[in-house]
Parts: sequence; C-alpha cells; structure tokens
Amino acid sequence: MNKSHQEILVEVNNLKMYFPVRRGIFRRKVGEVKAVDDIDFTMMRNEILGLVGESGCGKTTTGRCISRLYKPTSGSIFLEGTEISAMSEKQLKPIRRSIGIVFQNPYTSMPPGQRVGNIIGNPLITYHLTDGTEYKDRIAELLHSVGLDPAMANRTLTELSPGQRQRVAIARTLAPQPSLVICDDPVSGMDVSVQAQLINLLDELQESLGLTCLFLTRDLAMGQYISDRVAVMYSGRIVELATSRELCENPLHPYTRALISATPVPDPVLESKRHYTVLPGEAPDPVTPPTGCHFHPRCPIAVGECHEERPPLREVGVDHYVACIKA
Amino acid sequence: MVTVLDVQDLRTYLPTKKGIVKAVDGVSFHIDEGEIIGIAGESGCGKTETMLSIVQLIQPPGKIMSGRVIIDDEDILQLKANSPGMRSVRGRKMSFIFTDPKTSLNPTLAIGRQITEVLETHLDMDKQAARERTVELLDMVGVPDAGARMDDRPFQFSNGMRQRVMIAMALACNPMVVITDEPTNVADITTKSQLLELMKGLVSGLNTSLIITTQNLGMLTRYARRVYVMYAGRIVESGPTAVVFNNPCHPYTLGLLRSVPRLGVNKSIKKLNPLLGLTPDLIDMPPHCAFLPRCTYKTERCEREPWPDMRPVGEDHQIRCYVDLREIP
Repeated sequence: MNKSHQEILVEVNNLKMYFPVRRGIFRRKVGEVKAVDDIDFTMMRNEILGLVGESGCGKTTTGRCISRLYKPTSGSIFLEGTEISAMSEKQLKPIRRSIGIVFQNPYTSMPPGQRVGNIIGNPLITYHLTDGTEYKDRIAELLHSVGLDPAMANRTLTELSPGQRQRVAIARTLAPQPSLVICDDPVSGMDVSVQAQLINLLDELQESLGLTCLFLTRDLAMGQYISDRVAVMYSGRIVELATSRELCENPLHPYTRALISATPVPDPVLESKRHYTVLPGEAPDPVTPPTGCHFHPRCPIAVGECHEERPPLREVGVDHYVACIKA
Repeated sequence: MVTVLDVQDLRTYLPTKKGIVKAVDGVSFHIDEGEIIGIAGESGCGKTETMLSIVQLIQPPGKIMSGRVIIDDEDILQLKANSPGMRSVRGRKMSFIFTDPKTSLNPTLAIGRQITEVLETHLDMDKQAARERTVELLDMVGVPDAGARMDDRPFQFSNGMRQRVMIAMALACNPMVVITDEPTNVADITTKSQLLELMKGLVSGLNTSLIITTQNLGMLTRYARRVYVMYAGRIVESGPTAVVFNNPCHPYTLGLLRSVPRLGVNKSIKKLNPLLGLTPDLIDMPPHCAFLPRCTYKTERCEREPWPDMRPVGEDHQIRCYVDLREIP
C-alpha cells in the first residue's frame, strides 16, 4: 500500500491513556494503569486496520480513545484532518456521527425490549438525517444491507439470535453513514459459522460502502483475514505493524511469532509441519509493567539493553514496523 | 489399545414448556487408554450435555432416557446419580476441568483445601499426607512456590494460575478419563496453549485419557488423535483427526472447516465460505437429517428417508449421511 496515493483518514500520534489507581479514604492517587502507552499509527481511507492483542493489552481503550468515549491523557488524534483528542463534548457533537462503534456484546450494547426499527432509526432521528417519509424506507434499506428481512423492524431484540443481534448493531452503526467504524471484537464468543457469516458481511459492506474500519480482536487468524494491515499490541504498546501478508510470512517481533505459533491451523497437513513453542509466563500487571521493553521477561531473545530502554517502533521494510532492537 | 470409556446410544431429553428438547439423541463413542479425543460442534449441538450425562450431572427435569456408559467393565448409568458409587466415579475414575476459572473454584476456601478435600474424600488420605500430595500436584502443574501458595485464596491467583489449580484438582486422584469443556470465550491464546501443552504432557505421563470438547477446530487438529463432530444431538462424523479434517466426508464438517479463517490466508486470497443459516431448534425435530435445511449437497433421498445411521467410509472413519463428499467432484 502506497501512502502517498491514498488519503489519510485517521492519524494517531503519541496517544496515551492512563487511568489513576486510587486508594484510601481520600482516594489518593497511588498509581496509574498505563492502558495505552504512547502509540502511533495512521489509517488510510477504505482500509481495515486490525488491532490484535490478548485481553488487557489496551486495544479496546485505544478504540474508545479514537471514538472519544474516553478523553486521552495526552497525544493527538486527527480524524479527516481535525484534531479531536482534546475537544469538549460540545465541540464533539457534530463529529460524533462520523465515528461508529460495533461493540463486542450485542446483548449489552442495545436495549433489549426495543423494536429493531427503533434501534436502527434512533441515530437517524438524533442526527436529523431523515424526514418522516424516508424514515421507514431507510430502515428497510439498512436491514437489507446487513442481510436481515426488512420485516424484522417490528420484532424486539429478545426474539433474535446473537448473530442477528450483531447484524442489527451493525445496521445501527452504519445508519448515520460514519466515515470510521470501530469494531470491538464483534464476533468473539459466537459459533464459528456465525462468526464467518458476520465477517463476510463486514467484508461485503466494506467493499460496497467503502468503509474504513478499525477491527479489534484477540484472534490473530481472524484479524489477519479481514484486515489489510495488522497492528499487534502488547501491554499498551504496538509491537509490530505490517500488512496482513507480511505479518504472517515474515513476523519479526518475538511476541508476534509467539502468537502465530500459538494459533493452530485446522489443517492436519500444515499443522503437522509447524513448529510451536510455548510462551512462558503471563502478560504483565499494567500498574507495574516491566522496565524497558514490556515483553522482555517473557522474551526468548532478550538481551541486557531490553531491560533498560523502550524500543522505538521503527520501519524495517515497506509498511512494516517493529518495536524490537533484535529484529 | 484398551478402551477405558465406552458410551453407547446415550439419550438425554430435556422437557421444556415448548416441548421435549432431544439434547443428546443416540450418541456413541469410546476412548482408549492414554488417548486424546475431541468432540467438535457449535453451541447447542449437545456436546456439553453429553459430557454431563456421562457423569450423571444432568439437572432435573432433564433426564437420561437410555444408553450405556461403560468404564472399568461397569455400566455407571445403572448407578443412582447421588449414590456413593456414582460419587466415587466422579473424581476417582473421571474428572472435569472447567475452563472458566472465575466460577469453578470456591472463592472462600484456600486453594490447597479445595484439593486436599478431594484427596481425603476419595483416597482416604490423612490431613498430612493430603497436604504433601497437594504440594506435589501444584508443583506438577507449575504453580510456583506451591507450599506457600496453597493457603492463598483463588482471588490471589491470576487466571492462568487458577486454571492450573483446576488441572491439579482434576488430576488429584489419577482418574482414568479427564474431560475438559471449553467455553469459546475464555483464555487468551498464549495462556490456552500453555494449558493445553501442560495437559497433554500430564495425561501422557499419567496414561490418562483426555476428552476435549470445543469449537476450536485448530486446537483439535493440534491435540486430538480422533475427533467426533456433533450436530443437533447426534454424532455426524467420526474418525482420526488427520483424516476427518483433511478429507471431510460430511457436509457439516466441511462447512465448519470452511468457516474458520486460517493464518496466512487473507480475504484477498480466499474468502471464507461459511455455513448459512442457524443451528436448528431441537424441539419437534423432523425425522429426516437435521442438517438438511443448511446443506448444499442435499439430494431428494435426504428429504424422503430418515436420518441415516452412521456408516463407514474409511478405516475407523464414519459418517451419518447418504452423500459422501469424496464422491462429489
């Protein structure tokens, strides 16, 4: 992907999100959870960027900062050239509709008793995007686009299966025609056939509507399938960023390699040829992360320097960045 | 190979307001000594109910209607669910590893106590011996500084460590068969592979058999020697994992495999080809194949005739289908 020919939609610079840890009767601040610890990346228009990492790595926090559900501690976020990281709620109001979010759990992200039509129609009314005559047609159109029968508008959410609910959530997100969609692990915990159906739907929508999408997931196989480029996060930092293909064929960071090795392939011939190593230990406590490179206590190739300095995310190839001094 | 557990024609029905759910409808499988097998299938296929039926932990009004579960030459379905005999089967001969560590340990008891209790009950150990054995067990599963940590409570452990405790508990009495039921949404992949590697090592060391029930076909490819694929309360395909996943003969198995994204395959190279539709409601099942509405290989015969019995299509490889995918170009 050549950046110069494409328009940058999102640019994130030095993004930090620290949550205070308070203790005692005066709620004194005793520490910080560095959920997102100084990350940079850009997103092109019409691309899907995957953000892959295990639970607690900061991918959801990153998504929430970019959608400004959180106000980041520091750093800048440019959306279509506008700096949004420090905006007040009032300033954000006209920008809200350009950022859509599909949450992980369709059982808690929408009011269960409401009718599907109301849920999808709500953003249309809130943002004054339709007059009375078009309203129903637009809902039918949205339902159709996510592969649901337009007659479903009159059903309540409780009547729907998890996969159908997530389709409703996607339709609601797309209703105000956002320029950026953040998908926070929208298929995790679902049946494999339903996962694949939803992923194919996202893929089709991305092509037909030209969506730009930040896809957060724990599943590397899923992340690299749907995304054009993938960023791997570990303990609040991006450790590697590359095109999907490059990441799988030429992973450079030891954590990326460990993730790839731990992800089995349901193909007996391939699987029998793969070598896999078990990564020892567990992800660090975000309140007291290790010094230097956060990965060094688990890293098989760590050297003395890794304990001291944080390795910068440096360019090692065309559109391939890695934060490891040994790579 | 010695068969340690043989399940024959197991049926478990769950009456509900809307009708009877045939959660397990004639399931037969076996596992050999020291073997790892997998039960694959999506939620609602009856894999968990099958496992719970084996140890008679089905809650009423759910009822085991028929079948035989033979372990150690004894049909344990003949035992009453609450009888001392059945209790000694659970734990001593068979045990469960529930992979949700947050809810499966008692939060108010020290983890050491939760393991010594098992040893004292099933193996009649005295307190001192049980404590010593517990330290050994915790050491074996890789809990660091086991002697000191056994008086800690579950909340003082990380998720990964709690799962190790669960494994130690399951292996405490050297059971013949260990069952691990894996909810899809729990551990991270690096933790999960740590635990599975650990379990694999332990069961081969102790010559225990392991049943893994999961949706994760990749995990089964890596760990299970044989696999049973379940759909709507029945087994639809069984055989050696290497054969079944390489050359699936049942349309459902093929559909599952095609639904899973593979590392190194981006959407620009090959699109996923998922199964369409949803798993069926298990109430009022039609007599014909339950997979029929989602099947892309159905023939006229499938609608006319009842769901067929399992038939062999290769060495130790069976399917429940009139169609054999290998014969279709």
